[in-house]
Amino acid sequence: MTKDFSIIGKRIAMVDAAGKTSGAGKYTDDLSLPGMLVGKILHSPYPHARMKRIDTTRAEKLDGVVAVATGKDAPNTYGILPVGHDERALAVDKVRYVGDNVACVAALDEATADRALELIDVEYELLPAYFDPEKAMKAETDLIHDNKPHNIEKDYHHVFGDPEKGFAEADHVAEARFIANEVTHAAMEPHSTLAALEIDSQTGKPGRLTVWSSTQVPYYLQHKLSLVLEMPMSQIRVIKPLVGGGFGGKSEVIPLEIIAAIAARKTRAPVKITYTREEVFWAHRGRPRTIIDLKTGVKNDGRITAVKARVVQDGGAYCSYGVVTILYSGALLGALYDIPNIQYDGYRVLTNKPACGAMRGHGTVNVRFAFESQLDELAAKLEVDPAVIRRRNLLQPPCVTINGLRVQSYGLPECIDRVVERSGWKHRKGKLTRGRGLGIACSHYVSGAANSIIRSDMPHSTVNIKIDRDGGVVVYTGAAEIGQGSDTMTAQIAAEVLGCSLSRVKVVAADTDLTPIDIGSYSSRVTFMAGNATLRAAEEVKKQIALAAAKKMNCAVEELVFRDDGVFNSKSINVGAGVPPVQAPGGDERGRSSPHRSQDQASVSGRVEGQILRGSLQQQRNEEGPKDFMTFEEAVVAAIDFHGALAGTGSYAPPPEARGGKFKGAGVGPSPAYSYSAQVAEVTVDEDTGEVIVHKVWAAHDCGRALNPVSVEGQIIGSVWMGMGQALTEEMVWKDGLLMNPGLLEYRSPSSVESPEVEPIIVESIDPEGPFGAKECSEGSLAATIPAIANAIYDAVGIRLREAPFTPERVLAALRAKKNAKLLDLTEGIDPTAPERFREHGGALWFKGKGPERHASDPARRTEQA
Amino acid sequence: MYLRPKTLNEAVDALVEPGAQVLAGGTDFYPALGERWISTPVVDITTIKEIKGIAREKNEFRIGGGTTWTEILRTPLPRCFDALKSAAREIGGVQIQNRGTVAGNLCNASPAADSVPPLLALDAQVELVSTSGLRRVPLAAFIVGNRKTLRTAGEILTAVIVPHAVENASSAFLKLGARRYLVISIAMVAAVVAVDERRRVHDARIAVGSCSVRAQRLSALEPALIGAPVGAGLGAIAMPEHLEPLTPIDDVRGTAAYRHDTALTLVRRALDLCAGSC
Ligand SMILES: Cc1cc2nc3c(=O)[nH]c(=O)nc-3n(C[C@H](O)[C@H](O)[C@H](O)COP(=O)(O)OP(=O)(O)OC[C@H]3O[C@@H](n4cnc5c(N)ncnc54)[C@H](O)[C@@H]3O)c2cc1C
Repeated sequence: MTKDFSIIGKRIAMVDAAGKTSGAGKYTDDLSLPGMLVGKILHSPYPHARMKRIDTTRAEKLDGVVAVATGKDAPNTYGILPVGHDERALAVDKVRYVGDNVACVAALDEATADRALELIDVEYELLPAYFDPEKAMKAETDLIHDNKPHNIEKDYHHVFGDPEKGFAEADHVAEARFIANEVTHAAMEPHSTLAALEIDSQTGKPGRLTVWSSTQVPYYLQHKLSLVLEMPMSQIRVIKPLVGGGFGGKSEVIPLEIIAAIAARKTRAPVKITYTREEVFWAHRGRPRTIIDLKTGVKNDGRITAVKARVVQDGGAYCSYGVVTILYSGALLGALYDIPNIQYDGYRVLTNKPACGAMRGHGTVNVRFAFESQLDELAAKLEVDPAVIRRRNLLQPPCVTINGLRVQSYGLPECIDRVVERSGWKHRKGKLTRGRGLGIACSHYVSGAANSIIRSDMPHSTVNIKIDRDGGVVVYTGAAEIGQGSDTMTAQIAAEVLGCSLSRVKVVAADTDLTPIDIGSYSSRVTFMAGNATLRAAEEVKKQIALAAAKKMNCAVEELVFRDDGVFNSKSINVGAGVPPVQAPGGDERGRSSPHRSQDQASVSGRVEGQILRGSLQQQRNEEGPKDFMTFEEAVVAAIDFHGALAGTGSYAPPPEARGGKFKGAGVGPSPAYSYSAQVAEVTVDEDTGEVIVHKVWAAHDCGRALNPVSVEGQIIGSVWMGMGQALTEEMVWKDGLLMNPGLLEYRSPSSVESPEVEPIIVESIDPEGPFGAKECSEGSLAATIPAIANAIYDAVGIRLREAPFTPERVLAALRAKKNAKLLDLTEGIDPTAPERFREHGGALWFKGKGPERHASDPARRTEQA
Repeated sequence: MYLRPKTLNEAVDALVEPGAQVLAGGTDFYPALGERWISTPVVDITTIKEIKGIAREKNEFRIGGGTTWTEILRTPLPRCFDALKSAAREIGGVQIQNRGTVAGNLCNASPAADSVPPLLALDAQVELVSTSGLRRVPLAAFIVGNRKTLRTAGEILTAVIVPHAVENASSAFLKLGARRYLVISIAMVAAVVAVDERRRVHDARIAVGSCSVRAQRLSALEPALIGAPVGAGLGAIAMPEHLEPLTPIDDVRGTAAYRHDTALTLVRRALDLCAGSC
């Protein structure tokens, strides 16, 4: 299938791998500027309080402190969603969670900044706080935000078809409550921002602002900075250095990004703020704790007749992406299978905890866990094979789902078949030794949102390409490489279209002064949208080259073929059979086609030392006159001579047909294309301790076309691994709004030792609108892992786990309950009543001394002072 | 003040400074600081040779307080130390094992300190040295509570002393955590079982950690095992009532009920492991 391509579909090492693996690559915290100050933030020690007074004079007087910024310095509100402008970089009147941002010290060094934090006097008036969304929803007074009655950020009530009739027609109905506890991204790189203000050379006043930040969304950051600082966007430059993982945690503006800029403006010096690991946990924006009351009806043959879901999300203190999250939970409930009747009631609730936001698989993961678990239960009840019940409910694409989502390519059936085959499902399921089991589940995800979160008609991605006289190709893209391979994908697409080697292509990305607008790396949109924009930009420059080359070669533009670093006349040369000998063309093992003579001249970034080379080639051409073939450089030079410069622009906006229905909330869910996944997990359960071991996961993913299979496999494996963390060990544990495990020792992501063997299986449905048929591959797999493990546990020991993560004690409690033995009362989850016990390793100590007193109701904090 | 003395004498002299703290591998010391900066004098004992290494002496084994977990793992030792070695292998990860020391683990006295159950089961004593001399204290008495020991401010834990008595006994250590490595124990158990020539238990020591403010020997279970034939079923002798002295708590790692329940499972399994290797 990929034999027509020279770079697409090949296993290619990431173009930025060398810098990352050698340590030469620069992340934001690696940067420094002359005269740079260190910024440190004072956080709220209370979950909900009015700030009556803030006095920074003692801190300001401390030697080495340059300035202390407070809410007064930039009081404008902002938020990632236009409907959710409820945050301030630094609080002015109220704090809403333990960790909320109160003030920022900019000092000569970190120790001084830390000491100064303790000298800031804040007088708080404590307010009743809400930690449980179901209680918060009933509140009448002391609201977290005055304009949100009952602390409900947003609720939606959608009905498609006739659910009541659907349930009436069902032969079996299952109904249960599922809970997925709160998880966070835990990206390796903590958030970091460096902000510097130039002094205007004419007026001597502060001029342009440059911000280097660890972000997935440089353009949104530029936009919010402009809003809060009241500076025109043209005066703000956002640059994204290397980013060490985002997973959604950097897909919106995080307070430190604005605070650093406020401090830089106030001090007129560069200021860098890097969060500690604990601060990263408080900044959060992870996946909300979600309560799902789910009801599903099926016919005896397994056909689904209706689904009803009531979803409550514990969103934390600010809106963040919350409105989108709660809508995704409903919209994507109905787009994996053919469900004729759906009722969805979604509530996004505010509580006095750090805000939840977007996290890998945004909005879909927890609901998918519930749905796939319930489907498994129904299959068991009907005595239908769980793989078969899924096959009986497939969509028939091309189609539009009942909630208005257009589906064109649909590799789900093949995904199911492949994991069934590879796992030996048919002869192994239900027949393994005691305590060992297999489970299957499916999932899907958008390839970018068809409607952008900002209300604007501009394209979602725009890309510029410029080609130099020596054949060096520079691609300018706003797409943010965050480790997912965006730069590599961009280089691959440009090189494939232009028929040049990958080493010629240099990607300049995510610098708002240089690169056109791209709305960022989230919702798995980059390959589909920025990829399409790159493809179009490359086609545009290619057209210009072709025009000039055709003139030189005395042939029609249509007759030209670009590949292997040359332009061929397809009539005279059988391109497929081989290339003229001078070319010594390539496509080596790793898919880098090697242009003649450029092997040692090309650098990783793709620049070709071309001066001498070009001179000699030109000479050759002049001597030999018109011919059937030109090298890429020759063709480029001809085009530049002809057009004056060689540049092209391409952009992508989702087509109107993909943009969904018209009802309230219809904007979230639609995507130009959806990815599909099916997984089988094999686990063992220790029936005496409740420990679960995942041995192997077979994970099939329909990514349309794998532009770079090794990268797709990496994303599938990473998704499974992250899903397994949420399934088994990861959980944010709270006590009165205080996070009990704000560190990587007690927030337990699986380590390499726990990682099962993952067999990634790529399914290619070739989407009609994706670049070369590609769709997303970075998020969709995650959601299947959790229910696949839950269903495997059921197969192994016959218990149905409805609360994630399936910690040893929840598993043991379920086993005990099943055996009707000693029943452990664990339904409310873990209640850590003695927090001082886990202070020992990076526990909740970080704000110690930074607030005037402890949160009075927490006994742990009282004893600590003793 | 930061000092890195080369000898024990210099170190104890330096510790006379009021508020001075001992720094060994730092793997408990620094996390305990949280975000605070060091505000006390620090005596770094990592370069003192006298308190490192393991020696077999006439009546006892002597494990230097400054011995790291990696060093313990790499030293050939009699079977009764198998449990201690298993604990060493599961303390943090390899980096932590390279830095962390025996004395640090004992002086920090976390209820979840993994080396305490194996050393309790070996009837270990600790040796403490200060400017006023040397004293020995049984480990069972040394740790008095959660992060509380009998160590006085001027004392350095120079060695852990293990009698030869059960040298050839088999031993086992089991740790339950929510992750294989880099995890603090929800519960852990060490067992040492010695058999006579009739293959009956003549000495048994079982200690449980993370299930009370300090790890404990199960004094009701130990005598119940004496005389039992060694083989499959040894573990089944352990009954819930043998674990009654445990007082586990609810915390971020697990609930009290879960700890109680699984401690019994671990005790049974540890005994069966010992029986299997007798
Ligand atoms: C990521 C991580 C994972 C961990 N995992 C585990 C685990 O799984 N199991 C476990 O039990 N522990 C674990 N720990 C805790 C720690 O590694 C061990 O307790 C280790 O043995 C401590 O030794 P240290 O030399 O680093 O002690 P330090 O941190 O240097 O000292 C600890 C305390 O003991 C005192 N001290 C040290 N040596 C002496 C001495 N010779 N005389 C007197 N006082 C002394 C110090 O003053 C300090 O109060 C972990 C720690 C981390 C950071």
